[in-house]
Amino acid sequence: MSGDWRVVPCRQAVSQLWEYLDGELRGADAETIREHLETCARCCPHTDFQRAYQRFLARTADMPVPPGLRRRVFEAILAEDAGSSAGSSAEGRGVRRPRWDVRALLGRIFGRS
Amino acid sequence: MAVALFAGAGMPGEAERAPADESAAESLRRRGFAEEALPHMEAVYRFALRLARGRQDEAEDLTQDTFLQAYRAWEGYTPGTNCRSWLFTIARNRFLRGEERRGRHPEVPESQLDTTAEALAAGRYGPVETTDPERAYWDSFIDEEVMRALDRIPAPFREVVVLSDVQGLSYPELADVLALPIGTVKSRLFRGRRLLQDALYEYAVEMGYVRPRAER
Repeated sequence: MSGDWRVVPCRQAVSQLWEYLDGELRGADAETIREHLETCARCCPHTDFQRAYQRFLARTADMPVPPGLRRRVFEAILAEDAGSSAGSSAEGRGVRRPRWDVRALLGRIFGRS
Repeated sequence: MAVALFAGAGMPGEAERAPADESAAESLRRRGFAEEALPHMEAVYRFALRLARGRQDEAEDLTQDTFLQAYRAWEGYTPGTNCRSWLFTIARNRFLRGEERRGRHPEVPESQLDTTAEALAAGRYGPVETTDPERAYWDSFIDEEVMRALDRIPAPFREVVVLSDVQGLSYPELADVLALPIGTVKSRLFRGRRLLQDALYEYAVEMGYVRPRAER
């Protein structure tokens, strides 16, 4: 059983608001803090506000990525394999290998030249 | 299709066409990488884009570089562990190294990053009056506006906010990626959120989305 949420001062509850919303609230009074943040007329709007912030920001995780990115990464890795077979290795920004190398490799896998 | 191609699966005839020097071990390695690491490409790109403050070319380079590094180090990765966090760590390290090479200095001196614990006592309430419907407030922003506001926040706060609030990493995961104690992660995260919310609030007032709040 949890204690009465009213025994926790608003200031203390709000100081743990983020830990609660982040799902990281621990400790013996975690449940009382949770109840306070979800029940207290003064704190509740702030809990809702920050929860809405979290949902809102999480939504931006779906922003589109450039269409060519996937292929570009594949090509770099295929080229890396081709390079290491040839006994050399790319370093730093020198990862972009000559286009003919990649094309030949992709062509081989796609079955066309 | 591309993943299947990359993993060497679903491509009849590939085995016959593969050169003799492509060992079974290499093909297995590539398959493991395709299954565990490549699904995180979009998340890595989005993180890279924020590290690079919205510069797309830089973010694409960083993403490619990250996966290439990860591929080279794949033997050191234990299958089934936290691949996404590992990739974020690589991306971040490559980014910081690149910044150093380009002669860009840290946006906030290390000494001023975590000087106070005030953020932990996050006693301050949200930026709008409680009568405002909170959802309507957030919905008034379009994604690009948020990204612009985010890009104006100094890197040490930007990265932790993105990893937590956009990518959904837990405190222990954040501590791992950022190589910081959990207490520092929390204070940076809280401070970063405040910086972002303040920036958005100022923007919202400027754009007339909300009325300025009364001084408290």
